[in-house]
Amino acid sequence: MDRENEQLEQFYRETAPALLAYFRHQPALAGAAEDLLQDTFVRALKHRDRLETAVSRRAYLFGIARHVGLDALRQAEPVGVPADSQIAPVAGEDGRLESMRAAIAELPPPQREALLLKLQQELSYEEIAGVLDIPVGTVRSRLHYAVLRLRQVLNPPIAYED
Amino acid sequence: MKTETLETLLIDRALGALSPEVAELLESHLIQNPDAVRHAESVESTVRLARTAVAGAPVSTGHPPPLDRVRKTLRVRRRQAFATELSRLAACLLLGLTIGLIGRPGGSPAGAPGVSTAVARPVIASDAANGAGGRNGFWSLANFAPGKPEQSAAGVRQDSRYRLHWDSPVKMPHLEENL
Repeated sequence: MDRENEQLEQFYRETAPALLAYFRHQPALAGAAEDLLQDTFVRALKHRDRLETAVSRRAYLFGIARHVGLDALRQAEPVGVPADSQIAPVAGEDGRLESMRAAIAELPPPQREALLLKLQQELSYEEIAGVLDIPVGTVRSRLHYAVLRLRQVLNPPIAYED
Repeated sequence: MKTETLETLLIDRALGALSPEVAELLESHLIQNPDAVRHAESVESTVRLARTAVAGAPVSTGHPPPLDRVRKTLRVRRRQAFATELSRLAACLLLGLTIGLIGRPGGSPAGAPGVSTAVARPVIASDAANGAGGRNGFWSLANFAPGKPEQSAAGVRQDSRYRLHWDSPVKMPHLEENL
């Protein structure tokens, strides 16, 4: 039992900061990030056997976190587009970063969600598919469209000939 | 290699999702195509910038609450769920008990006036002899004695040519001639 608790403590230490960041990166959920993190773990521990037998425990936990976030959004008041999602003027490196942030914020939500799971959480395509409950092919196409869109926003298209 | 295929492979590589074998093939293609290299650099720089933008987003992650708090919350919620189930069970039992008390013959909860219950009246011997259920009553066997003319209600002619024949409850009754 102590060993189990130790493992759980270890797992919590490893994943809790990433989950907290996941919630805090979503403007509508940032204020309640700690509560949502707690809800995520409470739900995960309710069905601990499923957590133990999951192919990727990290992906399983992010799947729960996503549902917890969606539930919270459903219960919350509708939130307007945050001011920082507006495209800022380009000026040097900081300007490019700001533009990129704005471009990411402008992405369609399914593409943005997949991109954030990939870039922030470093999940594999298969893990993202598990989190979002969609086929791996859909994950790939969402990520590809997202990258292409970002590239179009920041760089003019380059003509390529075989 | 088609542009679409190349683009797909380049994005997969930039996102770190390309298998080593395919990556090797892609490298060999890029060596022979300077245009493709420019394309690859463009995709790589886009993903790199996106990664930096996302990682460096002005978000304070802070410290997660300790796991004990999560455990405590879980315990509290389990206790609440148990209490809810228990109260539902108690409500069901109470409802059953109340219905049982009210439905009991001659019984109504103490101090609950005006609750009437249907009670079958016992047949008294004198009634049985003369009354509705007795020897002269409507359901008396004497009325069905063989040879006895059919009893009819007041006002119905005895010499009626037809009678209602209804030999089964699942069939429609029909008139038949009195022979």
